[in-house]
Amino acid sequence: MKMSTKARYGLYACIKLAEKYGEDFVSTVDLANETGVSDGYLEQIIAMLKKGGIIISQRGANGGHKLADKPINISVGKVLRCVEDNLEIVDCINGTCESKCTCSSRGLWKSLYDHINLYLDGISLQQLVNVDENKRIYLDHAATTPLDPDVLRVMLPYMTDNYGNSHSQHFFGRDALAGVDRARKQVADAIHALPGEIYFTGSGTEADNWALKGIALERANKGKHIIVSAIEHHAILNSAEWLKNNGFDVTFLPVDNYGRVSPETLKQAMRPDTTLVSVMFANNEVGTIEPVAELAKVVHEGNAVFHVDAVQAMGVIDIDVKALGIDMLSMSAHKFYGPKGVGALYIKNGLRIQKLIVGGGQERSMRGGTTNTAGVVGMGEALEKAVLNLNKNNEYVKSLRDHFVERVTSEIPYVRYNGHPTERLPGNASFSFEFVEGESILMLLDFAGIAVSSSSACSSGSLDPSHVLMAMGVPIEVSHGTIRFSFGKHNTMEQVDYTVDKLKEIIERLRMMSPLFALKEGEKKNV
Amino acid sequence: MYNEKVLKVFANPHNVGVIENADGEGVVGNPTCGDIMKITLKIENDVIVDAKFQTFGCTAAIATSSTATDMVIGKTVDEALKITNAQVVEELEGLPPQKLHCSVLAEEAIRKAIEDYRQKQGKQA
Repeated sequence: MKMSTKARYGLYACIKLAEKYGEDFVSTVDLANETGVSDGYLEQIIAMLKKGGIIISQRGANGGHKLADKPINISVGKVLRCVEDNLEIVDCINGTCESKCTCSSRGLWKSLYDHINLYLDGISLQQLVNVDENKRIYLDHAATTPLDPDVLRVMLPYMTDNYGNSHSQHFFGRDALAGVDRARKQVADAIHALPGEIYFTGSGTEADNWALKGIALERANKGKHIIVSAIEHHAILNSAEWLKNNGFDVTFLPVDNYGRVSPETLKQAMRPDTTLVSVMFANNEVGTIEPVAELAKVVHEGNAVFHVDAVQAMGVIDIDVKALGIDMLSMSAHKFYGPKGVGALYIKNGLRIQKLIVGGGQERSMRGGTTNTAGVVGMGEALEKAVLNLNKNNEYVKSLRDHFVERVTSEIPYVRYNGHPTERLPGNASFSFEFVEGESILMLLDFAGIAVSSSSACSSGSLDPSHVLMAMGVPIEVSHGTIRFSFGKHNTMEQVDYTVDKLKEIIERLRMMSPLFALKEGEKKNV
Repeated sequence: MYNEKVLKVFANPHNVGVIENADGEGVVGNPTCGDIMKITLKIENDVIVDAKFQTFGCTAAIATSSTATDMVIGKTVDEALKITNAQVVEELEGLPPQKLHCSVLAEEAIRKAIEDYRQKQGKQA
């Protein structure tokens, strides 16, 4: 099995056109020069690509060729199939072999063929344009992480061959169920819980909704007061708001300047009618880690249920729910190199909770909806791998983060490092750059090929500043210039240095445009 | 969420800076809202011959500052006063709905700078 030169040149020509997408038509001669393919041969390939609707051409002086669609919308599979006729690896796939009804290996070839297409269709021309590592730096791991290829490999059979419904009684169902059971054990082991205490959900947000509403409603006859911290994720804050609108009383616990909830403050907020307390393990914006064990003690002294949103902490902090005294815990697979669209809620054995999603008898009749088998399998695999490599990965990611923080604080004036200096997630660095606005920084970093996140009001759609920074007492005008950098295991020291170099330029450039900075500089001169 | 035109203007904004001894100056917005725009104008015989801006704000704020200053250069003050935020947005081929207030800011800054110019003129006359 070998790709023809036609296929390789065809793809190469498309990548060259992708690089020039949005510009003028590229002539055959220019394209031939860039790809090193002869004009004549290239014309043949172009004709095929044209026929396949991948490129459009124009005659005349300014004529030439360009991609018919954005590079992100054109898959490598589409290009190769167009030039290579088909990507068949053996003749029998299209039924040209006589023994097709009896041959037991045909399924294998068909499956391999499907995998090849699946793989090639998953890669767009856009991805190949940016193969230079330094041109695409991902520093937004708190938003989501790339799916680990090892995890994908384990997941794939559950999307193709083992497609059974894990609730079906036949062998297809049993195969799927075996995968789900294994994943449930992997997740339980990771937090030192029992498999029967793990309930899979569609997201971390669903787990948070379920925990808050489920317990508040279950215990409504005992009391209608719940407590959440002021810096929770919106999945928690908006669930609490929902309860508030439905007759419950909610206390939003304040935090200190580092974003920490104090056990003493919690103690004062506890009431006889408090049924539930929810505090996150680590904050998503500033990375601060909460004193979970101490808080758990206070909650239990008040006979309430303690829920922890561990979405950011999972796979980074070794969590033992029993030792820490956690009654319920939410997690989300895509934060630890697993797939999107799958989460889980740990519910301590014996704890009664109302259902949020009702339907069939899935998840031991606690959460309706067909189990996302591949997703769940991916979650288990990803978490097991993360926990296995936890110390190694943390040490590495922390070394990147520390180097970044060291350089930013020493090389850029007027910056504020948000969050706790030591009690924080290893990959998080949140900075407020004074006199400039976060979204502008984000966009200029984006132009430089660096992906980050902004806590500024301007980028969120609403015009309210970040509730986390406000709760921590960051001055509102400073909060506008806040950027979250979150590092991951695939980042390199070179990427960190490149980012600091670019960041310095960008901050300086925006400050030269800022009337606030001009004012500050003027003050300095007048002193 | 931004269109290509807005991003292009933001990447290379025109007229950044402050005109020394400007004939008109307008500052609008405040740091708590996350937007401040300062526009300075050089005006000869009621014609705006130069305009510069300094802006603390997001992508849209910087892009509208650049476009609005571009639009007033060469116009008489009366013509410049007729420029609406909708025209600035049109020149940028559209802004996301939650960013439209940035274009209002540009219109206000220009209006204020012209008012300032007229006041100064009045004093001189």
